[in-house]
Amino acid sequence: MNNESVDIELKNVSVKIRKKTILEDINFYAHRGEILAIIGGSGAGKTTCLRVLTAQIKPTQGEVYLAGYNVAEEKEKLKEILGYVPQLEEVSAYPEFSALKNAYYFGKMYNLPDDVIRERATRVLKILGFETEEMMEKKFGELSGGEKKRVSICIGLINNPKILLLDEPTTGLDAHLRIEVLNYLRNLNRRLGITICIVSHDLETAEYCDRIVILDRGRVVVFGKPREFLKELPNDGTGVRVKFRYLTPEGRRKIEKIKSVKFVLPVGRNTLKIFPRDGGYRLGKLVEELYALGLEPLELTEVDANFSDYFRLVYQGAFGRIRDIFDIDFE
Amino acid sequence: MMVRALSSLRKIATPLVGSIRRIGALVRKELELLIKDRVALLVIFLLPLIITGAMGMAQYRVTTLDDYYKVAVINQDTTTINGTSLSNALINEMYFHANECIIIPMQSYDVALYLLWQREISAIVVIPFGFTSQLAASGSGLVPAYINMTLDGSDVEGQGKVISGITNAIAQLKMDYNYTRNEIIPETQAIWPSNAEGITDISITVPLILPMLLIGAALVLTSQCVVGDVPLRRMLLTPAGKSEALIAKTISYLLVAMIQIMIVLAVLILGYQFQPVGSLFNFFIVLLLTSFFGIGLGIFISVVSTSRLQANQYFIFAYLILIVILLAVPVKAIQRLDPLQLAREAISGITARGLPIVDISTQCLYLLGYTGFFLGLAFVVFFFKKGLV
Amino acid sequence: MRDEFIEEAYFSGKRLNHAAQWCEEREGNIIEVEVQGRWTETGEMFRGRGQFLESYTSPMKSIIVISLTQGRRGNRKVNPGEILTIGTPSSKEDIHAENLILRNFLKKNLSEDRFFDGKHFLAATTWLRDKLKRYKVGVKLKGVWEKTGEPFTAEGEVIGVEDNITSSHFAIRVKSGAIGEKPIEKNTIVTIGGIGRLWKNQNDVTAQKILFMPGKKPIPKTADNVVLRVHGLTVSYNGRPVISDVNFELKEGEILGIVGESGSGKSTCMKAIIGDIQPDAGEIEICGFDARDKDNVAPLFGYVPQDLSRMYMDFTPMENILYFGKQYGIPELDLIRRGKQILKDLRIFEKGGEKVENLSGGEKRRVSIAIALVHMPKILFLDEPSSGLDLVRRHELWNYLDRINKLYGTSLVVITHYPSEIDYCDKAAIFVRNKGFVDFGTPEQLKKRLPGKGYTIGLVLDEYTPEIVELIRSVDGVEYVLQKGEQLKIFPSKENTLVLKHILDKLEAKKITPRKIEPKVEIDMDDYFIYLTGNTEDLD
Repeated sequence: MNNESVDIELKNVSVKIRKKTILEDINFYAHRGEILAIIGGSGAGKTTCLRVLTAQIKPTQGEVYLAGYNVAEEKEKLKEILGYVPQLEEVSAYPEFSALKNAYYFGKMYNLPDDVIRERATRVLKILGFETEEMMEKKFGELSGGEKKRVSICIGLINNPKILLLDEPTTGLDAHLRIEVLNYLRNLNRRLGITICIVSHDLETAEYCDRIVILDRGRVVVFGKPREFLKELPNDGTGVRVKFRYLTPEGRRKIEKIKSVKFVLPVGRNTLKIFPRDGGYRLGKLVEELYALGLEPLELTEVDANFSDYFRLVYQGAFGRIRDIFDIDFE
Repeated sequence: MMVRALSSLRKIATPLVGSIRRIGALVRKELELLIKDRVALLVIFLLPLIITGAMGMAQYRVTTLDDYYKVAVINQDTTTINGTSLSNALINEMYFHANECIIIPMQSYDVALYLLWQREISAIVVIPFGFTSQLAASGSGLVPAYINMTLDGSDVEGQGKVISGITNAIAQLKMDYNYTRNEIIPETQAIWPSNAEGITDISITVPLILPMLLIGAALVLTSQCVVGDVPLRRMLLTPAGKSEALIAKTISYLLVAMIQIMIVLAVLILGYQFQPVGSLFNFFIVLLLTSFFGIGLGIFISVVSTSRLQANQYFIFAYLILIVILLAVPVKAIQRLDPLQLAREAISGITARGLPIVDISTQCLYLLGYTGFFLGLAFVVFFFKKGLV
Repeated sequence: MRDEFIEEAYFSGKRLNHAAQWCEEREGNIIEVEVQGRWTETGEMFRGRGQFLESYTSPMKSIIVISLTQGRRGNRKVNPGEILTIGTPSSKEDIHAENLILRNFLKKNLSEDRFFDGKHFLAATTWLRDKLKRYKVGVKLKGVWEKTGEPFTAEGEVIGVEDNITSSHFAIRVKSGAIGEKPIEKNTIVTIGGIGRLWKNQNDVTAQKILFMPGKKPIPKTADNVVLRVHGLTVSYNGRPVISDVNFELKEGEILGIVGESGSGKSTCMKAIIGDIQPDAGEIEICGFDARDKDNVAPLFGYVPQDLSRMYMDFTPMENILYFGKQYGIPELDLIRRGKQILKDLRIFEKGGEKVENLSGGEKRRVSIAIALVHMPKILFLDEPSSGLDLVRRHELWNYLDRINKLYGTSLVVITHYPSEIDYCDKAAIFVRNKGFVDFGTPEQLKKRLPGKGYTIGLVLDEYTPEIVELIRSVDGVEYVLQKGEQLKIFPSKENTLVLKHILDKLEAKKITPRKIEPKVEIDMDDYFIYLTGNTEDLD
């Protein structure tokens, strides 16, 4: 897909380093102005995808496009319009310099005028929660982990990039800061049209993205729009959350065998999410069937499935997306 | 057509101008980082001060000795001609005509030698038995008479002064006694008193110590400049290029070297009244070439190392090799390959002998060649190195 | 109410060996045996039900040993508690079985009672010797009174084991018993020996059936079944309090989550409970004992550290279990049996013979848990077992922990930094960075203590600018605004439907119409945590 509106694309990309396959047959894309999330556990290959996008690694096979340009050919042009926020702290900025000074020197690499750099950096830092001048002048090395991450994002935005790539921007931040960063990125995207690609191991990012790629051990497990995935679930993703007095694994197996039930997901202590088959189930009938099995439902709530539910069902082989179910061994 | 020429010029020039601006910013960054680094500041400012100061003081110690050179004279000649002992006559001449020499008659050669080893005296002159008869017998002047001189090999200036003084005395003798056709030949030998004081003359000290100082300081600073610059990897994702980064670092450290050299010169010239025989400007250039070598080698080490520890190990290793070859390898051919030796020769050429640049051009070119080699290799290796972010 | 059994099997008397095998495969679970057949001695019809104790299978014959819960032979009731052996119609056991129904119950058989046939006397005395080191052992016996050859039954307490070159024997103090029909006087000392081979038995009784019942030191069962109580716990470091005034408790069979981000003090809290660090103030009680009373408390809990390398990598899981288990003074025989059972339950039995270092990360964690379970603790502490795992595997882990909790009845205390995992707990203690301990309760109680009682106003707008969010925040009655993706969740400061109206009014003034309005939206634990960490106001 090489048409104008696609800003990020990996086409049949494979990366093999010294006989080890890190990525195999990766295909995904994002349109201009979209937020793309690349999710995966450790070793899934997400950082490698970013490295391929920034031309740090050459794929053994396949093509990579950014803003319509082939990354291998137009490296220099792309550097001007690309913003990158790395994962590791030590690469992000100079610990001896303050946030503003770091922004200054990085900004100078784009030959931006001094006042533009200062204005932009101050504005972004303020939005990211750096209230006082004092904070902005504090040495990078003396900031907390979360503050460092935010400064790093500011540096990544210094050249007003059209495409912004972030490697685990929320890792290590407190819960409310994670949300703030994601909200900020989303606002940035909606208002300025910046195409954003976020790499994360946390599915919470899924709530914010327009398109999502899930990698597992170098392969694409899921790719598409989260909202569309939920449509694959029966009843448009509506299910019932049931809390039992006491539930055993055997009890759960019995529920899975109920005719009108399609999927069952444990979500808490003696609590399941039950997704009935398509075709208008009746809550009352379900309750009857549960009692008939000797189970005691205490609470029933109708809920909508979220992306985490979908993802877990994928991993259970629910949609035949995984050819060979990876041994789920909890690590 | 003018417009088209200008626009195509602009097409080439704009990226170039951008590049130059970036290099400028990178140089400022490097210098600002150095200012914040206390250890670097010590190496840049304090180290040259201390070393040069120490050098100068060593020289001072020597000049507080007597300005005259003590020469022990041992007369073993008992022959006479017409009742005159020409050896005594020679000694008399020495008293009056060996300038800057203090003549000390002594009886025992062994005692004199001991004193020479202890540097209490600067030379021993022995007039052997038969000097007078030898001189008188050879009317035609075909058979020369010999005297023996034992000199302090480490004291170059002293050697010169003693020899000239004795030669003077000999000439005077020949004139006074009409032996002008005869030859009186001083046979000289040198001993090298091993001493803890080391070099005693600044004209030997400066060419030896300065290269070690400048190259050492440059290595200390630059061997960490790439491997320790971790955020550089992120910077390389901006339009900043690898060559721009290295050029900027080279320029930065050259600027630093210039500051160091000026400190050294200030101490030597203002502090110790050291006067290089040759031009000051040439002295500065040669010193800069020396530092440049250190910078080139240091940058190469920094590019090739994978960790700060490794860079330290490499730099210590390289520095030790340079010093060992300089000081401990007696084979002149190998020694002359050592950049420290090359720098030493170039510097002493300017300071002690006042040579024009042309005469030390071989050394300078070799030094520049080494520098270019290491820098060039650094650029190549850096180009292929993967610094993943 | 009867406990749930999970499977049932039927065997005819001829297939007793199959039945015995079935029992062996499910060893460690509570198995009920319902048997119908003939009382060998008299030929009467026998019908009864009992708890499975032991089984022996050999190519020639099989025996199942039960402890009777109820039964009749002919018209007479048989006393409950009798130990009966069931064999095939052609054997010499108490009962010839014609039909057997076996039921496997989910609950683990946690009793430490051990049955020995008289033929295995040496094994019995070896086991007894170990057990006597730490426990009192009660005993039920059936045998032969050597002097007269009459049948001997007794119940009493073991007072000692003795070895000599030819044989071993043990002595009991009789509580009640009989030789033939004659009752034995209470407190009589009787020596018991095994079936002698070469030498004539010097003892009073030759045992045929022995049931040892070790008695544990009674654990003071607190009236309200609380196994862990923490009150006013305060720990300081360099004069500054890390956690202060922590209060929570855990009842038997419950799962407690200790939840907080890194640096919130949760690890400090657990370390204080298990005794790694000394608290400055506060009481910690484990099963009624002061936590500092190491001797009494140590066998009551198990600890699974976050660091998997605390095990011996060079040894197998079984070897690790034996090593760590011995420190609790458990006899090796018991350790082996229990170890096998736990490894089977944790589904790493097949890897029992491999070195731990060769196992995968998840398998290593399971071995770590097995080691901590082998002494049957009342509480199991787990230090961040879910850190570093992805979503799917975290849920897997929690299902696993849930199963262990239900199988063994062990209470769990789990440290985690994922708020969503609180849903898998009965109760949670909440820690927030820079605030320390904040709250304790069930998920519902925790949510209820927030303004809005755990319900928020949900709004979906077309656009979210910082100005709009600020506008909503400025509405009177709005405590906190959480923007999550497409939706805003607004925490009202009081349960007040007027708040919604105020918000809508203010939005309309700016000509903004929400796409979707939900007056009462539930919050999940992630939202709960965001509120706690984001809202700078104090909770009280």
